[in-house]
Amino acid sequence: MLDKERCIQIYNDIKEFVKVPQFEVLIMGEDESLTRYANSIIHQNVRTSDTTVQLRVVSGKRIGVSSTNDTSKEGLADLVKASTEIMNSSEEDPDFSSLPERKEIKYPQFDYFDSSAKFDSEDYKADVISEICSKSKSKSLKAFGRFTTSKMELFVGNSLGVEAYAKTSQVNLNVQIMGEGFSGFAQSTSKFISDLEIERATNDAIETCLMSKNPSFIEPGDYPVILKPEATEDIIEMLNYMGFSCNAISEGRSFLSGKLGEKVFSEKVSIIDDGLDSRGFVMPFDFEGIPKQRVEIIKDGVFNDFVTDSKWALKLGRKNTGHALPAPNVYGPVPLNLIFLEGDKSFEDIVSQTDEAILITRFWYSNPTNPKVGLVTGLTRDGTFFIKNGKIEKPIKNLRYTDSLVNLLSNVLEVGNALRLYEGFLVPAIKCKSFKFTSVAPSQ
Amino acid sequence: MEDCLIEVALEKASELGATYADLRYEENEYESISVKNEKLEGVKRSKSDGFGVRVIVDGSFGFSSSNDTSKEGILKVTDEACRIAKASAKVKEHSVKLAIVKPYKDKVGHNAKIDPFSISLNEKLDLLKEATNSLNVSPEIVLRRGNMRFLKQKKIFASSEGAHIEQDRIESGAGISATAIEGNEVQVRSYPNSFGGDLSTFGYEFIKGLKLGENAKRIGEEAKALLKAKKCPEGYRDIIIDGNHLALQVHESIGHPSELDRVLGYEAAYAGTSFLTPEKLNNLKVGSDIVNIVSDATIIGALGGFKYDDEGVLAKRIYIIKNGIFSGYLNSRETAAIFGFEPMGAMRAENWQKIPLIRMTSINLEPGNYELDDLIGEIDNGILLSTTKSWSIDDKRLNFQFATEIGWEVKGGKLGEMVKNPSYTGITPEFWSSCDGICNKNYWHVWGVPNCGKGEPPQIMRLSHGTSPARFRNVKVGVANVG
Repeated sequence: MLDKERCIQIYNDIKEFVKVPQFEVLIMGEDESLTRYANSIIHQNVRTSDTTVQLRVVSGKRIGVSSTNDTSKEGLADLVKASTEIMNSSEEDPDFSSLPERKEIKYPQFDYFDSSAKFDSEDYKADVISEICSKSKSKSLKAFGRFTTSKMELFVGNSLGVEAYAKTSQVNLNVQIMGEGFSGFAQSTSKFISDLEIERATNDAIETCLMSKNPSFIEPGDYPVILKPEATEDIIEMLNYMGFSCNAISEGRSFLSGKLGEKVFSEKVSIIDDGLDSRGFVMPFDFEGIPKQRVEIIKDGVFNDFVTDSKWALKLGRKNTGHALPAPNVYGPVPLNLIFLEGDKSFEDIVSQTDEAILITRFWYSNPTNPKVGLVTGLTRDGTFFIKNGKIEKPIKNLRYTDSLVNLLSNVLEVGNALRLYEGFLVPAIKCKSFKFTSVAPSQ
Repeated sequence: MEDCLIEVALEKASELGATYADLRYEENEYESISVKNEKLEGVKRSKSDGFGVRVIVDGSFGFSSSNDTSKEGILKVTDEACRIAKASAKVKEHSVKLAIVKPYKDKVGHNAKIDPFSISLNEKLDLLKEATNSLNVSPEIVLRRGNMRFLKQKKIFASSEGAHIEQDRIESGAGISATAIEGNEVQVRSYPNSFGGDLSTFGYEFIKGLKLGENAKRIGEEAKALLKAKKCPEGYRDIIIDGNHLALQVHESIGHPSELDRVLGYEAAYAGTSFLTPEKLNNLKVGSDIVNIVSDATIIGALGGFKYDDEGVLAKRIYIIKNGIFSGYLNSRETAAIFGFEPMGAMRAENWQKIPLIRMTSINLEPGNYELDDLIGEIDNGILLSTTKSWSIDDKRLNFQFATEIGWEVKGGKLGEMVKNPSYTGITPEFWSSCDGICNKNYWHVWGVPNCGKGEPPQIMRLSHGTSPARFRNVKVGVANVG
């Protein structure tokens, strides 16, 4: 990790060498520590630190991009040379107009960086994991998972006056508890280590694991489902991958293509992207230094809006929502801070008011087979249960699903009133009328 | 990195109580080029240099890495690695032991005849534009994409046991794809394979040999034809899997479950475990008698090939499946020592930032003796499937469901109509046991796979699979038509 002053110094060093009308310096630094545990011991424990400096140079509509992690003056001079060579060999990009200008930009207040000693302590992580392992051993179970702390900094500066800097922190604890042929899973994610719900995640995983013992076989087929937040996250992540990007929508590949203003999901479904929501991983600007806007992608089931960056905003005549990825970006602007807006029922009420459904803790190895209609296959994992008359009747073996996720979100019956942060998205539990399971996994 | 700086790290680690230490330094240069609809979509060159130090202190591993290659940076990282190892030792049952290997001293050159970084951007763009232009056979082909990617790497591995290995490596790859859209129907065809094409450790001569332009028109026409093709039937059929997709079948159902760290539960919380548990070694019949699958990192040019792995172990060729019997694991020095196996050299790290994990090398289905026409000729009612579209397999690697871009019916021993959205599902040992024909070495090709994910933090590894088309009897097809 550098700091703002060193980032500005790098920008100024690059400025000395650049001889083009416009340029943009993007600096991405990361310090990450990760402790993995399996069979109730720590088996992998790593730390890494790196800084990447990326330079985009522009002359007219010609663009050149290259990057390096050599921040010496010589390394930066080479970076300028490489970017300029690429620019000179490139053809004009008719969709490109200009780098963003400073006059457009106002950044919100921002302070989401954990500088506590505990955050950087390998001993603290080992102690937490030791406690998780002890708790699982007391139930004759084994603990598996990871404990990650990472610090990131992002600087964007360009020759038109943009200068943006932010540093953030993230903490994630995954807890998988296993017995012989059964398992449970829970996790906690936060920006500050003091907010991590260690006990809740540990107890949830142990409880789910114990409930999963001796799973029964049920016939594959169509069943109502209740998804815990981690399972909902997998659905949202997959829909985002298949269809929320501006490129996929514009190119006709997405299930949302040509449907702006149309009802695509149940009216109980509202999905927004908000990089400034303090419950998520806040990042005030995108990789072009543009402030992130709140975008209501799905509003009461209607495809309402989509994210853009400077290039796509110009191309489509829409506002720039601040969702650029680092150039050159072949994926287009994508939402990175999705929120599935909460409903009004507690998870307990959703379960207790259900006659019959399959309860899913999380999914595994989901992969699209037909993105245009949202068709995906995957498996359940770490706790799948059959609910009858408002109670968990029995654990069941893992099931393979093959169904359209668009159809799944079109028949949402209930949305939980609590959001959980997972993999950067804020998601609730949901209940859906029908989901197609096509086979039973013989793993247990 | 100078030898004296490497010694600084190894000596410092020893001072801090390390019973073992290694340092891996890498200089990596990347180039990626993408073309969309005959226009440059993006080109990027990047350089990334750095090193990682791995130690054993108090019987546990610690690892730290940094791009700061100054003496101070090296001392700091080594100190961190030792501190991390001591923290690991607070939650252990046994001390790590490493299987003994010879500490090699060697210098290894790359396989490229033509350095791809010596070829101008314009020449590369011309090749991709010409190929994508040939995909443009009708207005329905709305997306025409081409890509190239290259890596030039210098790597030094040194250990406290005396190993000192310098290896140079070049990787080259390219591919094209056509996306046809009509109403709600989207069909994609790729050449020579999907998800990046084909890759090797040869140089630019490999790109020229792919013949992208010569195959582009056919690929465009197939994408268009798929829009009107009938659906893959549902039910049980005899199937032939083309080599470019059989690579994925080998990868998911044999390669991953043979990783010994996965068997030991090291990947359980993330990537899952394995059905190939130790008591099944040399006992379990995983496939029919004609199924022989090897791990072979010694194949020159294979993307999964190398001379030494990232523990300094000399590359080997071993059987994973021999005459249908599960016969061997991919291992590391640590996991080999647990079972008394010989280390076979499968520890690889994505880059200097990451700790090496057990990864596939080149996992190859050995060729059989069939001509493709004969393989087809012995099927009354079947499907031939080609080019990976999607994949999913359970966390023990048993229940899988795969889809391909294209298929053709086989009726009465002859190739018939094209079918769209072909898919099949099965259980790993049952599936491989139904294999009754494999094409001969004339059809055999080593496919480069650039996108194998494993580990936390995620590591994307480049590896390969040698395959030729093979036949499987009575397989459930068409299940992905639902929804």
